[in-house]
Amino acid sequence: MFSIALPKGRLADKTSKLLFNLGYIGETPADNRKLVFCDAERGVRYFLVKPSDVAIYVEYGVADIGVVGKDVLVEERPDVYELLDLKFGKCRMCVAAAEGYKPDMSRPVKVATKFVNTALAYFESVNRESEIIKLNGSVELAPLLGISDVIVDLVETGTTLKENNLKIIAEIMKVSARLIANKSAYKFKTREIDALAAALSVAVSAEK
Amino acid sequence: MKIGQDKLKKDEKLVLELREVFESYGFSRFKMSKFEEYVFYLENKNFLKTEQIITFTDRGGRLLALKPDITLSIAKTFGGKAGETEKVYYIENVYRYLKHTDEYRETEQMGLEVMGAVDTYSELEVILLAMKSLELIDKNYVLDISHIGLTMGLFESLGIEDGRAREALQNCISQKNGHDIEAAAPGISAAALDAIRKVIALPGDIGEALAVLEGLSSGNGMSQAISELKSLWNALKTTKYARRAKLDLSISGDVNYYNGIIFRGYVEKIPVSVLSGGRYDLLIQKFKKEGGAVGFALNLDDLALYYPRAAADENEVYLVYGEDADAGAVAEKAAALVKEGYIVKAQRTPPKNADAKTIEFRGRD
Repeated sequence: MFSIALPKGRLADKTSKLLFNLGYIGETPADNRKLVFCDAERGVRYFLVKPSDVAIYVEYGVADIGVVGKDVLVEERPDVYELLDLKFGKCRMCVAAAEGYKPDMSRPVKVATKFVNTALAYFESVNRESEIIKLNGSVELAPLLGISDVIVDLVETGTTLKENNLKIIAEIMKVSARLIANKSAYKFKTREIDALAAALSVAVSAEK
Repeated sequence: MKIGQDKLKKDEKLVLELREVFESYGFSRFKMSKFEEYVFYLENKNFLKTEQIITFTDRGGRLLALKPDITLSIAKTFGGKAGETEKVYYIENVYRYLKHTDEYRETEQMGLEVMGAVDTYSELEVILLAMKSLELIDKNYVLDISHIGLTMGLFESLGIEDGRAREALQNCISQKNGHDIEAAAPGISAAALDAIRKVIALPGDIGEALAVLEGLSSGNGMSQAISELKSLWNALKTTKYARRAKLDLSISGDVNYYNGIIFRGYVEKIPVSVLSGGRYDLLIQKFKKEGGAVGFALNLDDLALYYPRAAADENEVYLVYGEDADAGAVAEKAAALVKEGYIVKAQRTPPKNADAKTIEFRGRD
Protein backbone atom coordinates (compact mmCIF):
# COMPACT_ATOMS: atom_id res chain seq x y z
CA MET A 1 0.00 0.00 0.00
CA PHE A 2 1.35 3.41 -0.77
CA SER A 3 0.00 6.90 -0.62
CA ILE A 4 0.40 9.71 -3.10
CA ALA A 5 0.05 13.45 -2.51
CA LEU A 6 -1.17 15.40 -5.52
CA PRO A 7 -1.42 19.15 -5.93
CA LYS A 8 -4.96 20.41 -6.50
CA GLY A 9 -5.57 21.72 -9.99
CA ARG A 10 -4.15 20.91 -13.39
CA LEU A 11 -1.19 18.84 -12.18
CA ALA A 12 -3.59 16.58 -10.25
CA ASP A 13 -5.86 16.07 -13.26
CA LYS A 14 -2.91 15.23 -15.46
CA THR A 15 -1.27 12.91 -12.92
CA SER A 16 -4.45 11.07 -11.99
CA LYS A 17 -5.21 10.51 -15.65
CA LEU A 18 -1.74 8.97 -16.04
CA LEU A 19 -2.17 6.82 -12.94
CA PHE A 20 -5.61 5.76 -14.18
CA ASN A 21 -4.21 4.78 -17.60
CA LEU A 22 -1.42 2.80 -15.90
CA GLY A 23 -3.99 0.97 -13.79
CA TYR A 24 -2.84 2.34 -10.44
CA ILE A 25 -6.22 3.85 -9.63
CA GLY A 26 -9.78 2.96 -10.61
CA GLU A 27 -11.23 6.48 -10.73
CA THR A 28 -9.95 10.01 -11.14
CA PRO A 29 -10.74 13.11 -9.08
CA ALA A 30 -12.73 14.40 -12.05
CA ASP A 31 -15.20 11.54 -11.46
CA ASN A 32 -15.56 12.57 -7.89
CA ARG A 33 -15.26 15.57 -5.59
CA LYS A 34 -13.59 13.81 -2.68
CA LEU A 35 -10.17 14.96 -1.50
CA VAL A 36 -9.00 11.55 -0.31
CA PHE A 37 -9.28 8.39 -2.37
CA CYS A 38 -8.56 4.94 -1.12
CA ASP A 39 -8.25 2.16 -3.64
CA ALA A 40 -7.85 -0.88 -1.40
CA GLU A 41 -7.92 -3.28 -4.31
CA ARG A 42 -4.87 -1.70 -5.94
CA GLY A 43 -3.25 -0.75 -2.65
CA VAL A 44 -3.12 2.97 -3.38
CA ARG A 45 -4.36 5.93 -1.39
CA TYR A 46 -4.10 9.43 -2.72
CA PHE A 47 -5.17 12.86 -1.70
CA LEU A 48 -5.32 16.37 -3.08
CA VAL A 49 -3.56 19.18 -1.24
CA LYS A 50 -2.42 22.72 -1.93
CA PRO A 51 0.46 22.60 -4.47
CA SER A 52 2.93 24.30 -2.15
CA ASP A 53 2.13 21.74 0.59
CA VAL A 54 2.78 18.54 -1.40
CA ALA A 55 6.47 18.47 -0.50
CA ILE A 56 5.63 18.88 3.20
CA TYR A 57 3.25 15.90 3.14
CA VAL A 58 5.96 13.81 1.51
CA GLU A 59 8.79 15.01 3.75
CA TYR A 60 6.75 14.19 6.86
CA GLY A 61 5.90 10.77 5.46
CA VAL A 62 2.11 11.19 5.34
CA ALA A 63 2.52 10.50 1.63
CA ASP A 64 5.17 8.12 0.30
CA ILE A 65 5.36 9.93 -3.01
CA GLY A 66 4.01 13.13 -4.52
CA VAL A 67 3.88 15.25 -7.63
CA VAL A 68 5.11 18.81 -7.29
CA GLY A 69 6.46 21.66 -9.42
CA LYS A 70 10.23 22.16 -9.56
CA ASP A 71 9.59 25.76 -8.43
CA VAL A 72 8.36 24.51 -5.04
CA LEU A 73 11.35 22.15 -4.66
CA VAL A 74 13.85 24.93 -5.38
CA GLU A 75 12.07 27.37 -3.10
CA GLU A 76 11.38 25.08 -0.12
CA ARG A 77 14.33 22.66 -0.41
CA PRO A 78 12.52 19.74 1.22
CA ASP A 79 14.62 16.73 2.24
CA VAL A 80 13.16 14.27 -0.29
CA TYR A 81 14.22 12.21 -3.30
CA GLU A 82 13.39 13.70 -6.67
CA LEU A 83 12.96 10.63 -8.86
CA LEU A 84 11.55 11.78 -12.17
CA ASP A 85 10.91 14.78 -14.40
CA LEU A 86 7.29 14.28 -15.48
CA LYS A 87 7.74 16.83 -18.29
CA PHE A 88 4.28 18.37 -17.94
CA GLY A 89 3.16 21.53 -16.16
CA LYS A 90 5.96 23.27 -18.01
CA CYS A 91 6.73 26.92 -17.40
CA ARG A 92 9.71 29.17 -16.65
CA MET A 93 10.85 31.04 -13.55
CA CYS A 94 11.67 34.52 -14.84
CA VAL A 95 12.72 37.99 -13.85
CA ALA A 96 10.40 40.55 -15.45
CA ALA A 97 10.26 44.34 -15.44
CA ALA A 98 8.16 47.13 -16.95
CA GLU A 99 8.78 47.96 -20.61
CA GLY A 100 11.61 50.46 -20.77
CA TYR A 101 13.07 49.48 -17.34
CA LYS A 102 16.71 50.51 -16.94
CA PRO A 103 18.58 48.93 -14.03
CA ASP A 104 20.14 51.38 -11.58
CA MET A 105 23.36 49.63 -10.52
CA SER A 106 24.10 52.22 -7.82
CA ARG A 107 21.52 50.70 -5.45
CA PRO A 108 20.08 47.25 -4.66
CA VAL A 109 17.38 46.07 -7.04
CA LYS A 110 13.90 45.83 -5.45
CA VAL A 111 12.26 42.50 -6.23
CA ALA A 112 8.64 41.53 -5.58
CA THR A 113 7.98 37.78 -5.54
CA LYS A 114 6.29 34.79 -3.97
CA PHE A 115 9.59 32.89 -4.36
CA VAL A 116 11.85 34.62 -1.83
CA ASN A 117 14.65 32.02 -1.63
CA THR A 118 14.74 31.48 -5.38
CA ALA A 119 14.99 35.22 -6.03
CA LEU A 120 17.69 35.72 -3.37
CA ALA A 121 19.78 32.86 -4.74
CA TYR A 122 19.44 34.11 -8.30
CA PHE A 123 20.52 37.69 -7.62
CA GLU A 124 23.38 36.40 -5.48
CA SER A 125 24.51 34.19 -8.38
CA VAL A 126 24.69 37.19 -10.72
CA ASN A 127 26.41 39.26 -8.03
CA ARG A 128 23.62 41.82 -7.70
CA GLU A 129 22.48 43.04 -4.31
CA SER A 130 18.72 42.69 -3.93
CA GLU A 131 15.94 43.71 -1.61
CA ILE A 132 13.17 41.13 -1.67
CA ILE A 133 9.54 42.03 -1.03
CA LYS A 134 7.36 39.00 -0.41
CA LEU A 135 3.93 39.14 -2.01
CA ASN A 136 1.33 36.38 -2.00
CA GLY A 137 -0.41 37.16 -5.27
CA SER A 138 -0.88 39.64 -8.14
CA VAL A 139 2.88 40.04 -8.24
CA GLU A 140 2.63 41.63 -11.73
CA LEU A 141 1.18 44.75 -10.17
CA ALA A 142 4.26 45.50 -8.08
CA PRO A 143 6.39 47.31 -10.73
CA LEU A 144 3.33 49.17 -12.06
CA LEU A 145 2.50 50.48 -8.60
CA GLY A 146 6.13 51.26 -7.86
CA ILE A 147 6.67 48.78 -4.99
CA SER A 148 9.50 47.08 -6.83
CA ASP A 149 11.79 47.42 -9.85
CA VAL A 150 11.32 43.86 -11.03
CA ILE A 151 9.38 40.70 -10.21
CA VAL A 152 10.40 37.04 -10.05
CA ASP A 153 7.53 34.81 -11.05
CA LEU A 154 6.42 31.78 -13.05
CA VAL A 155 5.67 32.50 -16.70
CA GLU A 156 3.69 30.03 -18.75
CA THR A 157 2.48 31.80 -21.90
CA GLY A 158 3.53 35.34 -21.09
CA THR A 159 0.01 36.71 -21.59
CA THR A 160 -0.32 38.07 -18.06
CA LEU A 161 3.00 39.85 -18.38
CA LYS A 162 2.00 41.39 -21.70
CA GLU A 163 -1.36 42.54 -20.34
CA ASN A 164 0.46 44.34 -17.56
CA ASN A 165 3.07 45.86 -19.83
CA LEU A 166 5.91 43.75 -18.43
CA LYS A 167 8.67 41.92 -20.27
CA ILE A 168 11.03 39.10 -19.34
CA ILE A 169 14.57 40.35 -18.68
CA ALA A 170 16.09 37.04 -17.51
CA GLU A 171 15.15 33.38 -17.27
CA ILE A 172 16.16 31.76 -13.95
CA MET A 173 15.17 28.17 -14.71
CA LYS A 174 12.80 25.89 -16.54
CA VAL A 175 10.07 24.38 -14.37
CA SER A 176 8.03 21.20 -14.74
CA ALA A 177 6.25 18.67 -12.53
CA ARG A 178 8.48 16.23 -10.61
CA LEU A 179 7.86 12.92 -8.88
CA ILE A 180 9.24 13.03 -5.34
CA ALA A 181 9.52 10.35 -2.64
CA ASN A 182 9.93 10.31 1.12
CA LYS A 183 13.46 9.11 1.88
CA SER A 184 12.46 6.56 4.50
CA ALA A 185 9.45 5.25 2.56
CA TYR A 186 11.69 4.77 -0.47
CA LYS A 187 13.97 2.43 1.52
CA PHE A 188 11.09 0.12 2.37
CA LYS A 189 9.06 0.34 -0.84
CA THR A 190 11.91 0.64 -3.34
CA ARG A 191 10.55 -1.91 -5.77
CA GLU A 192 7.00 -0.48 -5.85
CA ILE A 193 8.12 3.14 -6.11
CA ASP A 194 10.75 2.37 -8.78
CA ALA A 195 8.15 0.43 -10.79
CA LEU A 196 5.71 3.34 -10.64
CA ALA A 197 8.45 5.83 -11.60
CA ALA A 198 9.50 3.62 -14.54
CA ALA A 199 5.90 3.25 -15.76
CA LEU A 200 5.32 7.02 -15.48
CA SER A 201 8.59 7.70 -17.29
CA VAL A 202 7.53 5.53 -20.23
CA ALA A 203 4.04 7.10 -20.26
CA VAL A 204 5.27 10.72 -20.31
CA SER A 205 7.90 9.95 -22.98
CA ALA A 206 5.25 8.31 -25.16
CA GLU A 207 3.05 11.41 -24.92
CA LYS A 208 5.70 13.72 -26.31
CA MET B 1 9.54 -3.63 42.22
CA LYS B 2 9.33 -5.21 38.79
CA ILE B 3 8.37 -2.82 36.01
CA GLY B 4 6.09 -4.24 33.35
CA GLN B 5 7.66 -3.66 29.94
CA ASP B 6 4.27 -2.78 28.47
CA LYS B 7 4.05 0.20 30.84
CA LEU B 8 7.15 1.78 29.28
CA LYS B 9 7.07 4.02 26.27
CA LYS B 10 9.04 2.90 23.21
CA ASP B 11 11.98 5.24 23.87
CA GLU B 12 12.14 4.32 27.56
CA LYS B 13 12.14 0.62 26.75
CA LEU B 14 14.75 1.05 24.02
CA VAL B 15 17.08 2.98 26.33
CA LEU B 16 17.00 0.13 28.87
CA GLU B 17 17.58 -2.52 26.21
CA LEU B 18 20.39 -0.60 24.54
CA ARG B 19 22.18 0.11 27.82
CA GLU B 20 22.41 -3.62 28.31
CA VAL B 21 23.63 -4.21 24.75
CA PHE B 22 26.19 -1.38 24.80
CA GLU B 23 27.52 -2.33 28.24
CA SER B 24 27.91 -5.96 27.23
CA TYR B 25 30.29 -4.76 24.51
CA GLY B 26 32.38 -2.88 27.03
CA PHE B 27 30.96 0.61 26.56
CA SER B 28 30.70 2.63 29.74
CA ARG B 29 28.23 5.41 30.39
CA PHE B 30 29.41 8.99 30.09
CA LYS B 31 27.30 11.64 31.78
CA MET B 32 28.13 15.19 30.85
CA SER B 33 27.09 18.46 32.40
CA LYS B 34 24.32 20.50 30.81
CA PHE B 35 26.53 23.43 29.95
CA GLU B 36 29.82 24.01 28.19
CA GLU B 37 31.61 27.30 27.78
CA TYR B 38 30.42 28.97 24.60
CA VAL B 39 33.99 29.58 23.48
CA PHE B 40 34.45 25.79 23.25
CA TYR B 41 31.75 25.59 20.57
CA LEU B 42 32.99 28.74 18.88
CA GLU B 43 36.49 27.30 18.52
CA ASN B 44 35.08 24.08 17.08
CA LYS B 45 32.16 25.42 15.11
CA ASN B 46 33.33 23.63 11.97
CA PHE B 47 32.46 20.39 13.72
CA LEU B 48 28.96 21.47 14.72
CA LYS B 49 25.89 20.81 12.62
CA THR B 50 24.27 23.98 13.90
CA GLU B 51 25.53 27.50 14.46
CA GLN B 52 22.52 28.53 16.48
CA ILE B 53 23.33 27.91 20.11
CA ILE B 54 21.47 28.98 23.25
CA THR B 55 23.85 31.02 25.38
CA PHE B 56 23.69 32.77 28.74
CA THR B 57 26.09 34.43 31.14
CA ASP B 58 26.83 32.81 34.47
CA ARG B 59 27.40 34.78 37.68
CA GLY B 60 31.12 35.02 37.07
CA GLY B 61 30.59 36.59 33.65
CA ARG B 62 31.51 33.50 31.63
CA LEU B 63 29.41 32.91 28.55
CA LEU B 64 27.90 29.42 28.77
CA ALA B 65 25.99 27.41 26.20
CA LEU B 66 23.34 24.70 26.37
CA LYS B 67 24.99 21.77 24.66
CA PRO B 68 24.02 21.42 20.99
CA ASP B 69 26.21 18.34 20.53
CA ILE B 70 27.60 15.49 22.61
CA THR B 71 30.39 14.06 20.47
CA LEU B 72 32.44 17.24 20.71
CA SER B 73 32.47 17.08 24.52
CA ILE B 74 33.32 13.38 24.46
CA ALA B 75 36.19 13.92 22.02
CA LYS B 76 37.54 16.62 24.32
CA THR B 77 37.39 14.31 27.33
CA PHE B 78 38.48 10.95 25.96
CA GLY B 79 40.93 9.50 23.47
CA GLY B 80 44.60 10.17 22.99
CA LYS B 81 46.06 7.42 25.16
CA ALA B 82 48.56 5.86 22.76
CA GLY B 83 47.49 2.42 21.59
CA GLU B 84 44.39 2.33 23.78
CA THR B 85 40.79 2.12 22.70
CA GLU B 86 38.15 3.88 24.75
CA LYS B 87 34.44 3.09 24.44
CA VAL B 88 31.68 5.25 25.85
CA TYR B 89 27.95 5.65 25.41
CA TYR B 90 25.60 8.42 26.46
CA ILE B 91 21.93 9.30 26.90
CA GLU B 92 21.64 13.07 26.81
CA ASN B 93 19.46 15.98 25.81
CA VAL B 94 20.75 18.39 23.19
CA TYR B 95 19.42 21.81 22.28
CA ARG B 96 19.16 22.58 18.62
CA TYR B 97 17.60 25.12 16.37
CA LEU B 98 14.97 23.72 14.01
CA LYS B 99 14.62 25.43 10.65
CA HIS B 100 11.08 24.11 10.07
CA THR B 101 9.53 25.62 13.14
CA ASP B 102 12.04 28.45 13.56
CA GLU B 103 12.59 27.63 17.23
CA TYR B 104 14.90 25.74 19.55
CA ARG B 105 14.02 22.25 20.62
CA GLU B 106 15.29 19.89 23.26
CA THR B 107 15.86 16.45 21.80
CA GLU B 108 16.99 13.27 23.46
CA GLN B 109 19.86 11.35 21.95
CA MET B 110 21.51 8.08 22.75
CA GLY B 111 24.76 7.17 21.12
CA LEU B 112 28.17 5.63 21.41
CA GLU B 113 31.74 6.44 20.43
CA VAL B 114 34.92 4.39 20.05
CA MET B 115 38.06 6.52 20.31
CA GLY B 116 41.80 6.05 20.14
CA ALA B 117 43.16 2.98 18.39
CA VAL B 118 40.40 2.43 15.82
CA ASP B 119 40.50 -0.13 12.99
CA THR B 120 38.19 -2.12 10.72
CA TYR B 121 37.00 -4.20 13.67
CA SER B 122 35.98 -1.02 15.53
CA GLU B 123 34.02 0.16 12.49
CA LEU B 124 32.36 -3.24 12.15
CA GLU B 125 31.47 -3.33 15.86
CA VAL B 126 29.92 0.14 15.70
CA ILE B 127 27.98 -0.74 12.53
CA LEU B 128 26.71 -3.99 14.06
CA LEU B 129 25.63 -2.16 17.21
CA ALA B 130 23.90 0.47 15.06
CA MET B 131 22.02 -2.28 13.23
CA LYS B 132 21.18 -4.06 16.48
CA SER B 133 19.79 -0.73 17.78
CA LEU B 134 17.63 -0.29 14.68
CA GLU B 135 16.43 -3.88 14.93
CA LEU B 136 15.30 -3.25 18.51
CA ILE B 137 13.15 -0.37 17.26
CA ASP B 138 11.65 -2.24 14.31
CA LYS B 139 12.40 -5.56 12.65
CA ASN B 140 12.03 -3.74 9.34
CA TYR B 141 15.01 -1.42 9.13
CA VAL B 142 17.74 -0.36 6.68
CA LEU B 143 21.25 0.94 7.25
CA ASP B 144 22.61 3.02 4.37
CA ILE B 145 26.39 3.01 4.25
CA SER B 146 28.71 5.24 2.26
CA HIS B 147 32.16 6.79 2.49
CA ILE B 148 32.88 10.49 2.67
CA GLY B 149 35.64 10.11 0.03
CA LEU B 150 33.42 8.50 -2.59
CA THR B 151 31.67 11.47 -4.21
CA MET B 152 34.72 13.76 -3.98
CA GLY B 153 36.84 10.95 -5.43
CA LEU B 154 34.26 10.41 -8.15
CA PHE B 155 34.31 14.09 -9.17
CA GLU B 156 38.10 13.92 -9.24
CA SER B 157 38.04 10.79 -11.41
CA LEU B 158 35.58 12.47 -13.78
CA GLY B 159 37.62 15.66 -13.98
CA ILE B 160 34.87 17.86 -12.51
CA GLU B 161 36.82 20.65 -10.82
CA ASP B 162 34.39 23.56 -10.55
CA GLY B 163 33.13 24.02 -6.99
CA ARG B 164 29.66 25.14 -7.96
CA ALA B 165 29.19 22.20 -10.35
CA ARG B 166 30.39 19.80 -7.64
CA GLU B 167 27.86 21.18 -5.19
CA ALA B 168 25.02 20.99 -7.72
CA LEU B 169 25.98 17.43 -8.68
CA GLN B 170 26.24 16.46 -5.01
CA ASN B 171 22.65 17.69 -4.64
CA CYS B 172 21.56 15.55 -7.60
CA ILE B 173 23.15 12.50 -5.98
CA SER B 174 21.58 13.28 -2.57
CA GLN B 175 18.15 13.57 -4.16
CA LYS B 176 18.58 10.57 -6.50
CA ASN B 177 17.88 13.06 -9.27
CA GLY B 178 19.17 11.67 -12.56
CA HIS B 179 17.28 14.13 -14.78
CA ASP B 180 18.78 17.47 -13.72
CA ILE B 181 22.46 16.51 -14.01
CA GLU B 182 22.99 18.39 -17.28
CA ALA B 183 21.30 21.50 -15.88
CA ALA B 184 23.46 21.22 -12.73
CA ALA B 185 26.72 20.97 -14.65
CA PRO B 186 26.28 22.46 -18.12
CA GLY B 187 28.61 20.90 -20.66
CA ILE B 188 29.20 17.74 -18.61
CA SER B 189 30.71 14.93 -20.71
CA ALA B 190 28.58 11.97 -21.74
CA ALA B 191 30.85 9.63 -19.76
CA ALA B 192 30.51 11.70 -16.59
CA LEU B 193 26.75 11.93 -17.02
CA ASP B 194 26.56 8.15 -17.36
CA ALA B 195 28.82 7.63 -14.33
CA ILE B 196 26.72 9.86 -12.09
CA ARG B 197 23.51 8.16 -13.23
CA LYS B 198 25.09 4.79 -12.33
CA VAL B 199 26.00 6.08 -8.88
CA ILE B 200 22.42 7.26 -8.32
CA ALA B 201 20.98 3.87 -9.28
CA LEU B 202 23.44 1.52 -7.53
CA PRO B 203 22.30 -2.10 -7.07
CA GLY B 204 20.97 -3.01 -3.62
CA ASP B 205 23.63 -5.61 -2.85
CA ILE B 206 26.77 -3.96 -1.44
CA GLY B 207 29.13 -6.38 -3.19
CA GLU B 208 27.58 -5.64 -6.58
CA ALA B 209 27.44 -1.90 -5.85
CA LEU B 210 31.16 -1.88 -4.99
CA ALA B 211 31.91 -3.60 -8.29
CA VAL B 212 30.04 -0.82 -10.15
CA LEU B 213 32.01 1.84 -8.26
CA GLU B 214 35.30 0.09 -9.01
CA GLY B 215 34.47 0.34 -12.69
CA LEU B 216 34.10 4.11 -12.35
CA SER B 217 37.16 4.75 -10.23
CA SER B 218 40.40 6.08 -11.60
CA GLY B 219 41.54 8.35 -8.81
CA ASN B 220 43.31 7.63 -5.58
CA GLY B 221 40.68 9.12 -3.29
CA MET B 222 37.97 6.91 -4.68
CA SER B 223 40.01 3.68 -4.67
CA GLN B 224 40.99 4.35 -1.06
CA ALA B 225 37.31 4.74 -0.12
CA ILE B 226 36.32 1.63 -2.06
CA SER B 227 39.03 -0.47 -0.44
CA GLU B 228 37.94 0.65 3.06
CA LEU B 229 34.33 -0.20 2.25
CA LYS B 230 35.44 -3.55 0.84
CA SER B 231 37.21 -4.62 4.02
CA LEU B 232 34.16 -3.60 6.01
CA TRP B 233 31.79 -5.43 3.68
CA ASN B 234 33.92 -8.60 3.72
CA ALA B 235 33.47 -8.69 7.47
CA LEU B 236 29.82 -7.65 7.47
CA LYS B 237 28.55 -9.93 4.74
CA THR B 238 28.82 -13.09 6.81
CA THR B 239 26.60 -11.70 9.57
CA LYS B 240 22.81 -11.93 9.77
CA TYR B 241 22.65 -8.15 9.36
CA ALA B 242 24.19 -8.13 5.88
CA ARG B 243 21.00 -7.99 3.83
CA ARG B 244 19.73 -4.96 5.74
CA ALA B 245 22.80 -2.89 4.82
CA LYS B 246 22.84 -0.94 1.56
CA LEU B 247 25.48 1.13 -0.16
CA ASP B 248 23.89 4.48 -0.90
CA LEU B 249 25.75 7.62 -1.94
CA SER B 250 22.69 9.78 -1.38
CA ILE B 251 23.64 10.01 2.28
CA SER B 252 26.22 12.68 2.76
CA GLY B 253 28.18 14.01 5.66
CA ASP B 254 30.15 17.09 6.53
CA VAL B 255 33.70 16.85 5.17
CA ASN B 256 34.88 18.95 8.12
CA TYR B 257 33.72 16.20 10.43
CA TYR B 258 33.86 12.80 8.80
CA ASN B 259 36.85 11.30 7.01
CA GLY B 260 35.82 7.70 6.36
CA ILE B 261 32.70 5.56 6.37
CA ILE B 262 29.39 7.28 7.08
CA PHE B 263 26.02 5.66 7.68
CA ARG B 264 22.38 6.47 8.29
CA GLY B 265 19.63 4.25 9.68
CA TYR B 266 15.95 4.12 8.87
CA VAL B 267 13.04 2.17 10.38
CA GLU B 268 9.80 1.51 8.59
CA LYS B 269 7.40 3.69 10.55
CA ILE B 270 9.53 6.83 10.92
CA PRO B 271 9.71 9.14 7.87
CA VAL B 272 13.17 10.51 8.66
CA SER B 273 16.45 8.80 9.51
CA VAL B 274 16.70 7.94 13.21
CA LEU B 275 20.38 7.08 13.39
CA SER B 276 23.50 8.59 11.90
CA GLY B 277 27.20 8.18 12.37
CA GLY B 278 30.58 7.51 10.87
CA ARG B 279 34.33 7.74 11.19
CA TYR B 280 35.54 11.13 12.43
CA ASP B 281 39.30 11.14 13.05
CA LEU B 282 39.54 14.85 12.19
CA LEU B 283 37.77 15.84 15.38
CA ILE B 284 40.13 13.79 17.54
CA GLN B 285 43.09 15.34 15.75
CA LYS B 286 41.66 18.82 16.33
CA PHE B 287 42.11 18.15 20.04
CA LYS B 288 45.77 17.24 19.37
CA LYS B 289 45.13 13.61 20.20
CA GLU B 290 46.39 10.59 18.34
CA GLY B 291 44.23 7.94 16.76
CA GLY B 292 40.74 8.04 15.37
CA ALA B 293 37.11 7.78 16.29
CA VAL B 294 33.92 6.16 15.09
CA GLY B 295 30.42 6.35 16.55
CA PHE B 296 26.75 7.05 16.05
CA ALA B 297 23.82 8.89 17.58
CA LEU B 298 20.23 7.73 17.74
CA ASN B 299 17.35 10.19 17.95
CA LEU B 300 14.94 9.01 20.63
CA ASP B 301 12.40 11.79 20.21
CA ASP B 302 10.12 10.46 17.53
CA LEU B 303 9.96 6.88 18.77
CA ALA B 304 6.97 7.21 21.10
CA LEU B 305 5.06 9.14 18.43
CA TYR B 306 5.50 6.57 15.67
CA TYR B 307 5.50 3.50 17.89
CA PRO B 308 2.76 4.21 20.45
CA ARG B 309 2.49 1.59 23.18
CA ALA B 310 -0.50 -0.74 23.15
CA ALA B 311 -3.44 0.86 24.92
CA ALA B 312 -2.79 0.31 28.60
CA ASP B 313 -5.72 2.55 29.35
CA GLU B 314 -8.38 -0.16 29.38
CA ASN B 315 -7.98 -0.80 33.07
CA GLU B 316 -7.96 2.85 34.05
CA VAL B 317 -10.52 3.96 36.64
CA TYR B 318 -11.46 7.26 38.23
CA LEU B 319 -11.85 6.94 41.99
CA VAL B 320 -14.17 9.82 42.87
CA TYR B 321 -14.35 10.40 46.61
CA GLY B 322 -16.85 12.62 48.38
CA GLU B 323 -16.01 15.86 50.18
CA ASP B 324 -16.12 14.27 53.65
CA ALA B 325 -14.33 11.04 52.75
CA ASP B 326 -11.49 10.10 55.06
CA ALA B 327 -8.12 10.56 53.29
CA GLY B 328 -6.71 7.38 54.84
CA ALA B 329 -9.71 5.38 53.67
CA VAL B 330 -9.36 6.75 50.12
CA ALA B 331 -5.67 5.75 50.10
CA GLU B 332 -6.60 2.24 51.26
CA LYS B 333 -9.26 1.93 48.56
CA ALA B 334 -6.84 3.21 45.89
CA ALA B 335 -4.18 0.73 47.01
CA ALA B 336 -6.72 -2.11 46.87
CA LEU B 337 -7.68 -1.17 43.28
CA VAL B 338 -4.02 -0.92 42.22
CA LYS B 339 -3.49 -4.39 43.64
CA GLU B 340 -6.33 -5.65 41.47
CA GLY B 341 -4.42 -4.32 38.47
CA TYR B 342 -6.19 -1.01 37.93
CA ILE B 343 -4.57 2.30 37.06
CA VAL B 344 -6.22 4.58 39.60
CA LYS B 345 -6.84 8.30 39.18
CA ALA B 346 -8.21 9.48 42.52
CA GLN B 347 -9.87 12.88 42.59
CA ARG B 348 -12.61 14.64 44.50
CA THR B 349 -14.82 15.77 41.64
CA PRO B 350 -16.10 13.59 38.82
CA PRO B 351 -14.08 14.05 35.61
CA LYS B 352 -15.65 16.38 33.03
CA ASN B 353 -14.86 14.08 30.11
CA ALA B 354 -14.89 10.66 31.70
CA ASP B 355 -12.80 8.55 29.31
CA ALA B 356 -12.68 5.67 31.77
CA LYS B 357 -14.80 3.85 34.31
CA THR B 358 -15.73 5.91 37.39
CA ILE B 359 -15.97 4.45 40.90
CA GLU B 360 -17.72 6.59 43.50
CA PHE B 361 -16.34 6.26 47.02
CA ARG B 362 -18.03 7.92 49.98
CA GLY B 363 -16.09 6.61 52.96
CA ARG B 364 -15.46 3.14 54.23
CA ASP B 365 -16.85 0.26 52.14
